[in-house]
Amino acid sequence: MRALTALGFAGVLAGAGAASCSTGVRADTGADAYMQVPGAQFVRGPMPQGSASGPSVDQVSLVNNNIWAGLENDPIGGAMGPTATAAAIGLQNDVGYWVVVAGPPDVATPTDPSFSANAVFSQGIILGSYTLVVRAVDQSGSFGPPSTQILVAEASPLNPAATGDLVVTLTWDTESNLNLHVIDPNGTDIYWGNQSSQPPFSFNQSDAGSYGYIDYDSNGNCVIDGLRTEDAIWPDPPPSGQYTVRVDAPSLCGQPIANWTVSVVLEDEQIAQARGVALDADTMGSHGVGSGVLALQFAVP
Amino acid sequence: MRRFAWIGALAVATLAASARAEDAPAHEDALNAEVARQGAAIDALAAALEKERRERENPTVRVSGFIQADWVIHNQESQNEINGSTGQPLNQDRFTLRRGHVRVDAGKGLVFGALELDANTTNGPQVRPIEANVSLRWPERPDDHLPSFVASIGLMRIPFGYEVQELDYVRPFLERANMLQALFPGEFDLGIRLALKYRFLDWSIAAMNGSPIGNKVFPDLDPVQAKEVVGRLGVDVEIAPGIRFQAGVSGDTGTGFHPGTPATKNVLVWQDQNGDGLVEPNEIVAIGGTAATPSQVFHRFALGGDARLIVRVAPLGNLSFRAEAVNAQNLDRGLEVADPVGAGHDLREVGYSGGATQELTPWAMVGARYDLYNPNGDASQQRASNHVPVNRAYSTLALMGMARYRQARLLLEYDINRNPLGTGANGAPTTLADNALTLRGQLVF
Repeated sequence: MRALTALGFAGVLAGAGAASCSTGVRADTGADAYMQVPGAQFVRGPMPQGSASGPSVDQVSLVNNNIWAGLENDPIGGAMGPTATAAAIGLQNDVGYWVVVAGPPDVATPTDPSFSANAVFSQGIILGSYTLVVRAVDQSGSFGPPSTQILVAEASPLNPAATGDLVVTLTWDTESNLNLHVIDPNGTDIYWGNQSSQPPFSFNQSDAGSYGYIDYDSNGNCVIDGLRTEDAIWPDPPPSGQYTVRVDAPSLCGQPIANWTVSVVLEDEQIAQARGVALDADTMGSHGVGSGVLALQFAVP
Repeated sequence: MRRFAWIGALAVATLAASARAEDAPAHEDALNAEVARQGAAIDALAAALEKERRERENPTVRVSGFIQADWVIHNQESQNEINGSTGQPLNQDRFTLRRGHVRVDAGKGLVFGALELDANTTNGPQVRPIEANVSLRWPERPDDHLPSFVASIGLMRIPFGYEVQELDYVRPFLERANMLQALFPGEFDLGIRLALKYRFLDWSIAAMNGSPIGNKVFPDLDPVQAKEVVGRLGVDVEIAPGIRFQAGVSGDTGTGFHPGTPATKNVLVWQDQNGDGLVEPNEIVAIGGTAATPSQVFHRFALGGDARLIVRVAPLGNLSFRAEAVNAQNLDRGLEVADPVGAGHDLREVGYSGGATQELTPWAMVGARYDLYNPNGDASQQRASNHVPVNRAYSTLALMGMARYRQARLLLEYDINRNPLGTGANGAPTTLADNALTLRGQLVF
């Protein structure tokens, strides 16, 4: 009977022995990569060096070489040598690369397998120059020589950097609804509910003076726009005196926290910066004039 | 002479009387003990009769249940991330209430019923009915000389194969084989069922909605009028002292549903191809409206066989072998939902499993089970210039060790999983690492 027992277990184990020796890929969303390719397989780590005898990349097609944080559906395509079955795509020195299955040849290159991907660039990408690397891979998993393109990460045209003599900027990292409050030397709180320090029009009022305004109410009422930035801008030289900056959190929109940063740029020079965290407790209470937590104070001479 | 005879008889009688007088207390004690024993037996019979009378007059209600709490010690698939599509966390290394069942059984005469609720935190906290049915039985009391019929209506186990009908707290492995989770997700469906048991025969046939509670689409609903007919013809026989054999063939035939689409209007779509946030003429695309398409139905079926051999191995305990195989078409409702209308061809599904368990005294058990399921035997992939066949099979090798004490279990299982969900460097499907080590505590009450 012991023999029967041993035989039974041995049969089950032997029949499936291959399973325990299997190789595969790790589950990884690659959400921390600067460049992401939805639907493709992410492989963490540097792309293998490959060899000259491996399949080649004949052509890489880009719409343009300029990228920016949050850029979506940026098409990357091309053609590879006839033996290629996949393409490995990634930014040099990124945390990993992406494997895209080769597609049928295009009409223009009838013998060469194609590849096609729609890239997304991380909100956290730092402005500067990047090298896009594409290698073809054949059926045996051999990587070929690289084909490279230079990509330049620049400020998003959808959210250009604010300009003015004085710019107070609030940015945060989750899709929450935060509000910037700037109290000018006259005691006027400039925020989404009072978008300008300019007083109402009056015939007796002189036209002199410089006024600040809030450029945008990002994620207002939790209508998510993805910008997560608000600026208080003085296009002309701002009034002298003490300024107070507060950060209010009307709602975290379901997010657990929001890490925020406030920076102050006076005549193109950063003069102050502060960081903080908005928690659910910060959403309680009033969200009108003077609300929010103190971020920083600064003086304009 | 006659005088001597009388004297002799008198002497004998005197001696006998003397002897009886000496035995009388012991005899009396024995008689009293016998009377007491018979009295107790009569009382027991009377109590049993009274209990049966009460049961006849009042429904018997019994509350039972079980808890299965898991600690997924490590799952290779775990990430500290969320699924971008569902918003659900991707971490699997967690404590979870896999099943918490409370069951109420009630019966009176020929009629009985059951209601079982399941509370779990598999996808967040939820409570749902898992079984609810009313049954008519004949005969009222089990009788070895008569066949036993049970007709049921409601939410009940699907009578297909062995593991689908195996109770969750009895199954030695954490979960059912992949093929059964795919073909019969949730194991329970609404319908009517007729079951027959007679000597070694164990047969069931049912007409059901065909949309089990674990169905990915329309769970517990029924989008088609035709009903699923499913059944199992089984035997359960002791072929020799200490050796028991169970086997069966199962079938399922029914109708699947492909949803139609509503009519759409003409729309203009802006595709920001260069991502500059500006609308440019070449980025405006006109998409023409389409007429509604009708829903379609398709035929699906499954044919399966199962066998189980239980051998008493003294002094360890039972050695049990189990095997099950299913050949199906268009029936996957839980893993890769079969839709031959969308796929353009019938989806051939094949699966099998085999396993063995060995009791090591009443307090421990070890076991192993291997199962493989291919949801599409004709799967292919466009890779470069070629359309190549690919293997879409899922398999699991489960290695289990269990400690038991009365109604409690502590089960440790390591699952070696293979699947086609990853992409290898060469573009071919490969395993997305998913091995898991799980500890389960179970209590039946």
